[in-house]
Amino acid sequence: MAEVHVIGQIIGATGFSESSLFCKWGIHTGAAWKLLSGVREGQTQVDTPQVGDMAYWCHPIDLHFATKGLQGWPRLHLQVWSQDSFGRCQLAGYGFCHVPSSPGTHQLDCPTWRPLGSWREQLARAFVGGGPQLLHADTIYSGADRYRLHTAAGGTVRLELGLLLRHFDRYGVEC
Amino acid sequence: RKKIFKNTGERYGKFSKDAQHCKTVQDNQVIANTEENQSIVETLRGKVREKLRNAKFTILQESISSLIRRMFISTLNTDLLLFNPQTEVLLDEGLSFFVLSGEEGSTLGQSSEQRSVNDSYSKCFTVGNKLQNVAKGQDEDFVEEVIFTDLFEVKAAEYEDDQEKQTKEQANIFVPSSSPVANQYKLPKGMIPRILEDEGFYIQKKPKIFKKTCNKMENRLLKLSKGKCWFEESGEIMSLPSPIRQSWNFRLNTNKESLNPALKTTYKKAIKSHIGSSFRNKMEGQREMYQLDLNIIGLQFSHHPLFNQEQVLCARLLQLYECFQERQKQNLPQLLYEKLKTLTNATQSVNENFEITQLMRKSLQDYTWQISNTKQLYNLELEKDLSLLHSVLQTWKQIKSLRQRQGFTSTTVKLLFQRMEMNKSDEQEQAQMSEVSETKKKTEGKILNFSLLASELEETEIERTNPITLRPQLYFTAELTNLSNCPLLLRNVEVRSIPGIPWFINAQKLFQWADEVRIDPNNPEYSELMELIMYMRHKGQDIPQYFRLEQLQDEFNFVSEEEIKKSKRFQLLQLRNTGQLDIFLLQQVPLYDREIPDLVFQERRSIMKRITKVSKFNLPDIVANYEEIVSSSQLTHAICKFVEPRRKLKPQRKERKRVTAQSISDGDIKILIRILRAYNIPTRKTAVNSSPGHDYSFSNLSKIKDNIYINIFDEVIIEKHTISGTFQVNIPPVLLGYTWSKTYLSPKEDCNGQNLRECTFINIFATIEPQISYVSCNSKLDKFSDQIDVLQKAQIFKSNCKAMFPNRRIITTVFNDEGIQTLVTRYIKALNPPQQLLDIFLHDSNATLDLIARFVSLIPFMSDTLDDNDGSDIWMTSERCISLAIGNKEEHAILLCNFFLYFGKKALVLLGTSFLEGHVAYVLTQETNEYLFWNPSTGQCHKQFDPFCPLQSVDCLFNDRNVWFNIQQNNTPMAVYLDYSKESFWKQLLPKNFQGTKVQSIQVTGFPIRMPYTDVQSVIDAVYQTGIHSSEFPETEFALAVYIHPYPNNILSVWVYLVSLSQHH
Repeated sequence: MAEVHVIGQIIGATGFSESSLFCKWGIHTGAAWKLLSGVREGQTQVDTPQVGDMAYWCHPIDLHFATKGLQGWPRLHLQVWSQDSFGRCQLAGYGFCHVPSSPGTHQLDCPTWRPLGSWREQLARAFVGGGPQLLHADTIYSGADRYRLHTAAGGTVRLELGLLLRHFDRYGVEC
Repeated sequence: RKKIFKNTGERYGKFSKDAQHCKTVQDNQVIANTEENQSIVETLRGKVREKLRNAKFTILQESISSLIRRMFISTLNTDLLLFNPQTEVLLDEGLSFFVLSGEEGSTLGQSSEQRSVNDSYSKCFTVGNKLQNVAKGQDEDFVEEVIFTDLFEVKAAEYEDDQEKQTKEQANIFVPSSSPVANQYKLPKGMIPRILEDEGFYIQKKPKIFKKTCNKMENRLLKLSKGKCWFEESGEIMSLPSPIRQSWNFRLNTNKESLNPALKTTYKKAIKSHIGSSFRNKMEGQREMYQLDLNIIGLQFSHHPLFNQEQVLCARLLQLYECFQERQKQNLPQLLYEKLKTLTNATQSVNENFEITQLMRKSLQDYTWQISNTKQLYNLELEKDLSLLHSVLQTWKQIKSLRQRQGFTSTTVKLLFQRMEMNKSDEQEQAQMSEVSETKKKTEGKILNFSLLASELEETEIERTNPITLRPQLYFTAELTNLSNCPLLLRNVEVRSIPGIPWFINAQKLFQWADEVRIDPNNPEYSELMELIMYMRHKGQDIPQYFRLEQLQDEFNFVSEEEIKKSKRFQLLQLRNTGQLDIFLLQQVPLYDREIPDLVFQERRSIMKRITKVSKFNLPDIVANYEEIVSSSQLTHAICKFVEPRRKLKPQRKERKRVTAQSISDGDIKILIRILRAYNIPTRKTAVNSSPGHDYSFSNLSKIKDNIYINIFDEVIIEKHTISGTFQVNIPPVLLGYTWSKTYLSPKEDCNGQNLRECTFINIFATIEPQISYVSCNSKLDKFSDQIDVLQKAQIFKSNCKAMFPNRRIITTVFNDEGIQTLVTRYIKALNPPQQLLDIFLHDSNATLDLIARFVSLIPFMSDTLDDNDGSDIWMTSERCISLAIGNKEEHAILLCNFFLYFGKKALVLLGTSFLEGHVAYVLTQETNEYLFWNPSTGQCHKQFDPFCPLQSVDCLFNDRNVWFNIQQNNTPMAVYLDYSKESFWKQLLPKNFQGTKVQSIQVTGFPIRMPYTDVQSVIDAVYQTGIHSSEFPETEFALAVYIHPYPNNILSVWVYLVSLSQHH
């Protein structure tokens, strides 16, 4: 009956070649976890940086979990999308990071990647936009054999997460 | 000697150096002196030979010559080719040095070794420069040489020829050859190498070794005495597989497989999202994911390496048969045949037509071309069919012969042939079309069920041209040979051939099966199975019987699922998150469970339970009068509803659907109230726009922030679904600041004496939504206390009345306060009102009656706890009612009636219903020319035709003599004919001449005893002696009263009254 509060924000993203970015995020947990309050997933606004290349979202995350075990510790998965001048959206990167397991405030840098696809697709992406996307988005956080996937590195998403743990010491987990 | 050799060795180098030196410095001289040198050499040689001959060292001479030759062959051969003239010189020089050094060494001995070397060096250096003196010096050397020849011995260097050496070595050393070794040397005699891999075994990969190395090793091993034991059956050297790998941990090559489906990517175009549509839906793909459960019952192999011959043939037969069926389905020959027919018909019709135009000719050509084409195709298809049929038969034949040969049957396949015969008409047709095709077959026709085994195939071959075809029919009915009858060798095959073994069901069976079949543990196909078997054997009996998605979860759980579900804090938090928690919405949720009261959940749970209860049922289960549009009238009604005008002037009243009260939860019921009109509303006297105390101007109203309290008390069991009528509004007796409109005149004002002016009436219509059906339960009573016949009669009367008018009220029997059922008539008896009330209006009887009614209405009411309908009312007597100062509606009415009876009025208790109060009991008094309704709860009196009387129905009357039930069609007070003596309007419980039942039914016997008092015992004896107690009737009651009258001097007179009451049946 341990409890975890995840309070923080998605600050922004940097290092993307695209300019207008937004981020869809979600938190995946194992079966032992139960969301008491808060929303599991969300989407930020589209930010077009004026100075520098960092897109700032400052999107709040506030979740309260109850858990009966350590398995399936919350994982944060992100999809960074870019919006072009026509208002079309295309994928800029997938990212994933575990929610930290120690209490306190954490600065997280979550690198992202995107599938490359065939050369035709790369060419199409360069000229007409769009791009290959994962059919099953849960691959972002699941450990499927990815060795056959060709990807290109995207930018980095910066997060700031505060962790509050409760009653873990009761079950022998010292934090 | 050694030293000399050494020196000469050193010299070689010097010579070459000198030679070069000489070449540069003394080129001219050398050329000039060439001839001279030659002569010198000649002379030298001659001298040497002479001296040597003289010295008689023939051997030495030889060795010297050979020595000289050999010494210089190697060094000079190369250099001196260019400098031929100098060669001679150097040769001589070398010789001279050689001789010289030898001489010096011998003369100076060991002590002057160093010096001699130096000397020789110096000599060496001088050689070139003093070439002119060479001849002279040489001469001297020769002299010395000849002298010292007998002091040393010159021996040739020891040398062995390479070939000789090899031959010698070969005697001792064994070098294995690297040529491959034939298998026959490696294996025992007559044995053919057995390669397991070719037999279908899975052989692990061995570490890679060079073939040459391997061959050498083989050759070497074969030389050993028991060398053959190092070889395997396959003829290779025994070796272990690569030790890095687990022996059975083979994996199929996954490279051939396509990409993991979870990793598939799709190219998505850059899409412009619509406003409002959210990407978020796509984020979590799980919502659209559904699980598809596939149950694979069995696998049928078309081929398998473990098939036996019969099975292979069987598989082939199946394939052929399938192909045949497919073709049969397509029925191409038939199609082509039809086409041919139409084509020929067309050509015939064209031919018959005499006028052949150009166009027709063209089409005719086209026809003929098509005919020939189709004919070819047709023949081809037919041939294909035939060959297919033939191969089917061939395979079946093979199977049959194989079965006979091996003596058992391992497959269930059985092929039967049906012979088909053509129709007569078809035959005729065919005769006509014979020019089109000779070998035509028709698949239609009467089927002769004629099973033909393949052994009779020859027959069919002949019949090919006949218009009879054979259709194979495949059955899986052949009997398998019992396993015990099979040869032992083949049993394995039998077991293997069982396709879908549900091995996962029973581990024990799986082991057994694996043992029996002896599956190859190295087979990559079985690697998973082997893993499972290993795992199970390892784990023993601890295998869980269930499949778990997240394994090992339970082992690491802190708490159980139930505990986390039970946690009140978590429940509260979740409820708060979903916004279902009204009370706690702004409060902090306590940190610990113990701080949360259970009460919070109990309420919720009860509500939730009700909701879930409702949601469990279908609509017809919940709705009592659930109607579906079935009949045509309903349908037309439904259709007419669309046609009819939107709003009628007089809309028809429709019956609403009813719901049972049990299925309704909180908030489902609405009370609809509509104020139709109001009469005689007092108006405000002054024209001031503010009412007393409050300012209702807009500006003020807009500032009001008060809460609105609406109190609705719902206590009465609903019987009427709608309330509609006119009610008198209770107004305070004095209403300050308001007046009644002068113009209003009530039509009834004159006829009844009351001043209606000061009454306000309001006409409302109220109903509840949805309508709730009222559940009535049938009363059944089985116990009667007294006068059973009467009570029975009363019950029968009641049930009869209920049968006639189920909605009208009737009460004939009630329970008294002792729990005994009695007739209602028993309660009515004239009762003396309190004297104080009578004294107030001594002369105005009407005023007294009003006062009494008011007095009764002031007695507090006690609501009926029990349902009125079940007939189990408990009524107290009027005396008791007054003494307890409490009563229900009926008791009030009875009390009022009793009081009225005291005044000699004809009063009856009336049971009916009222708009306001539901079930009510009024008192009906019969005046000289009218009837009055007295409401005991308010004390008001209404005339029969009073429009504002709240009484709605008059159902039943009773007084001390009888009970009357209203059997008139109408039961509204205004329409009812209240003369209860008419039997056609009022049904009586007791016949008219029925006399008091109590006197007849009970026999009272008894008498008083008067006796002087002596002692108590004598009094008791006297009572016993009367024998009253020994009554033979059951349920006899006794009464006893004792009076003692005192006389002076303690003389006492005792009166004992003894009575026995016995019932007569």
